[in-house]
Amino acid sequence: MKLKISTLLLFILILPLLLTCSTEKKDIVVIYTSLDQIFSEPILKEFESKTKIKVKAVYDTEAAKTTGLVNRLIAEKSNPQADVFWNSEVGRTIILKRKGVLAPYRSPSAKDLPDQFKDKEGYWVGFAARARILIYNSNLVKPEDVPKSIFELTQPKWKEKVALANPLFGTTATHTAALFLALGDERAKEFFENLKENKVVIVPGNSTSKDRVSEGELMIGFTDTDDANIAIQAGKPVGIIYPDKDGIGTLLIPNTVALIKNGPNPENGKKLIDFLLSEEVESKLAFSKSIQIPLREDVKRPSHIPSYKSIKTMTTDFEKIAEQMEKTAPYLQKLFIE
Amino acid sequence: MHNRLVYIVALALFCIIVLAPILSMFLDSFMVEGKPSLSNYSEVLKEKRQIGLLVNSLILAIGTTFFCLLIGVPLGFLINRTNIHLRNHFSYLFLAPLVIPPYISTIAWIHLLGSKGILNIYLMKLFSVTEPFFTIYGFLGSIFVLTLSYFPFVTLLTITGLKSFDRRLEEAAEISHGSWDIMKKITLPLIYPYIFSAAIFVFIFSISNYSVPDLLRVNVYPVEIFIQFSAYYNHAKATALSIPLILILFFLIALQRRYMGNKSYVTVETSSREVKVRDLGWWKGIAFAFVLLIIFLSVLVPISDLIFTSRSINAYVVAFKTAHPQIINSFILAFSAATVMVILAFIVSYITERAKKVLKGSLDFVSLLPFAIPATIFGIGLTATWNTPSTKFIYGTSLIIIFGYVARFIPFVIRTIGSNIKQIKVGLEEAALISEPSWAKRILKVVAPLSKSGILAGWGIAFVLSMGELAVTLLVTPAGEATLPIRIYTLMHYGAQQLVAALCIILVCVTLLPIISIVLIGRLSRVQIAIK
Repeated sequence: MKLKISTLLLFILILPLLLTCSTEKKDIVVIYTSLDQIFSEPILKEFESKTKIKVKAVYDTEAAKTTGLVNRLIAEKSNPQADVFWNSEVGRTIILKRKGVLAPYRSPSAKDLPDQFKDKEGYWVGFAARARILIYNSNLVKPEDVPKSIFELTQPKWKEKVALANPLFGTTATHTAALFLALGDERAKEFFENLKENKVVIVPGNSTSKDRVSEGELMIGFTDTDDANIAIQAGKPVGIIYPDKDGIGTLLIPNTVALIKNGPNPENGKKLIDFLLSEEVESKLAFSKSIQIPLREDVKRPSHIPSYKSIKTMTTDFEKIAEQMEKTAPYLQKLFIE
Repeated sequence: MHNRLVYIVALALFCIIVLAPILSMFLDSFMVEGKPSLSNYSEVLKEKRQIGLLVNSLILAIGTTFFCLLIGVPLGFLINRTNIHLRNHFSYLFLAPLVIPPYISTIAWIHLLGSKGILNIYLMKLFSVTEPFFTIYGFLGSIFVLTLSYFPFVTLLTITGLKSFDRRLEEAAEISHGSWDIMKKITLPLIYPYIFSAAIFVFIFSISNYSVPDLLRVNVYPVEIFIQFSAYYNHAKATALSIPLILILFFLIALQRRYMGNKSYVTVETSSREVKVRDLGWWKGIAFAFVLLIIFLSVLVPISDLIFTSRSINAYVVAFKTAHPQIINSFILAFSAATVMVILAFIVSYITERAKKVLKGSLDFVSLLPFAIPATIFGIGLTATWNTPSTKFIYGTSLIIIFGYVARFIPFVIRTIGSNIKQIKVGLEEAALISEPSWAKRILKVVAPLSKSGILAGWGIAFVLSMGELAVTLLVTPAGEATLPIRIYTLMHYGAQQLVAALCIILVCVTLLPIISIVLIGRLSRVQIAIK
């Protein structure tokens, strides 16, 4: 009896090992992605069935509580485990480039993507973008009161009614850095201090910003197009604004893909990148619930998604934004985290 | 000689799995650009802002610990010592809150008691006022949600304590004292080591929680550590920032030793007499209502919030179909990890309890050190330690997740089993020496059975915590693998409420499965003894 129990125990201990060993040594590619699994998984499955290359993925989301894949990639730098990084935004891809985690790869699929969204040295390519927008509760905000610019949110009528995701994390950090570059330090600081003065509510992430606005607890919030679309699809009383059409413009944040330096399966990694940057994938992401805006003009997309050229975009040098993010962080930390 | 070998192997495993990742992070934090330096530490608690954040965290931790004791200890007594209705079922039901991620409870309470929460809107209409009397936002709300998430630690350890001491002490006192007096003077003091351990668990968990106060708009100290990771990618500074948390843990352990170190708790129950169940009399109804209320607030509110937002039964089918690999994976991993933890923790706490005084103090601290290390630092430390070409069989497989679970949660098991071993008389083991010369058999036949309730409780805690672990798993999970919490987490961001609800309920059920079996097997074996 004693023997049986200990054998059983040993078996249980070894089981996970056996389970993982059995799938080794096939034609595989390893990808880390921060685009929600619900959107990225079908696309990776498609690649699998087309090429018969097995895709092993680590999924994450960009919510503030995860320090996620970027830190993991930095920690794994001495012995990389991933071949491809598919980031749902751009700032942290550039940080990885600076930390020496990435390798340059000029994919043939990237040729017709606009240069504005590509790294000059070929370390990353941007595609399928989201816009930084405002979401408002249409029960609480009258049509004539809907603001056209984010700078109106420092007015007294929005006091304690504006949601902003923690500006140190996620796409909000990217947006903040872009504002600092567009406005200059002094005016940007003035804007954020006025927001704070106006009791802006700092929430954990862009999806929380959308939640608090659609529930009616707050009137208006900063968020991304994909989060806003989830609320619209769910029939919540919300509207969206592409802000500052007549001013600095709206920030577009593309997905980015990059090859990992010294990854275990570089050739398969390149094949996967070629696939991800294809027109087909951009179109699929546009038709999915995350409504990513294609960066190619002629890609098939649903009618409610604007052409990216029709949006007045903020002039952006993403390399500079990444640099600015690190400079802005200490200031924001002092201002908002106390 | 035999025992030496076992000691050495156990301590070596403990060092490799638990201490190596911590050590690698700290060694790194003392290096700046390849040279030894203290500069990472120069900014810790230098700003007034950081001290303010630490004070916020302390307020949350102290408040939560206070209320957890206030609820948890009486609940333990009611379940173990009184004839309350359904007492057999409560002995596992109250573990359920530990499985529900605090983040999910918080969202449920925002839906009820946010400034536009359903309950608040109703109350405002009822009393025709325009502002809610109370919103969940702020310190009180955070303490409220954290208490509902962590009180089961106290209840579980109270029950473990009540089960393991010699009831003859109480019986002797019954000759001259009333039952209230016995509880105050005999029973309660005898389970202090358990209660104190539970208090430390709750304190550490609530001081390092970030997701709940973040949603409820209280800024806390752990956010500083997260910022170092997520805004500066500076692992060394993040590690340095965890020093205040380690000092607080050190202080708590010193405090416990000061008040309990010298007292003797050699009281373990060696005869198998039945628990004396007190009749609650007319209090029975009130006590029952109290227990139901706690279960309602801590389990039913979050779960029904999820169910209401989902409004679909189909979701459960989809959830099960799409997530069964993760369900099985989570179960196997948590089961293995809990078993490893119990074996390791038993030996480590045995060594600790039987060691000389000085060694005992340092072992005590080292074995609890992982408590104070933020999960993210653990995750990065595990990668730094195990991501080498020659250890691919660990880092590239699920073993790394088991390592993560063990490293993070073994202190809980050591504490739980340690409180139990503390009560076993050294003399008892020496007596066993006469009939059983083999050390291994002595341990298996005498010490292990006597600490049965500690071992079972320790296994239960380890399993429940491992089932719900997210932060470390996210950082080290091998590509192509996922656990149930990862699945839930990735869906939550997208807003797939139905699936999240369904998966949470599955998580609760799967987690309670082995716990219920333990209870049932325990009961069955008791019946068998009675038949004999």
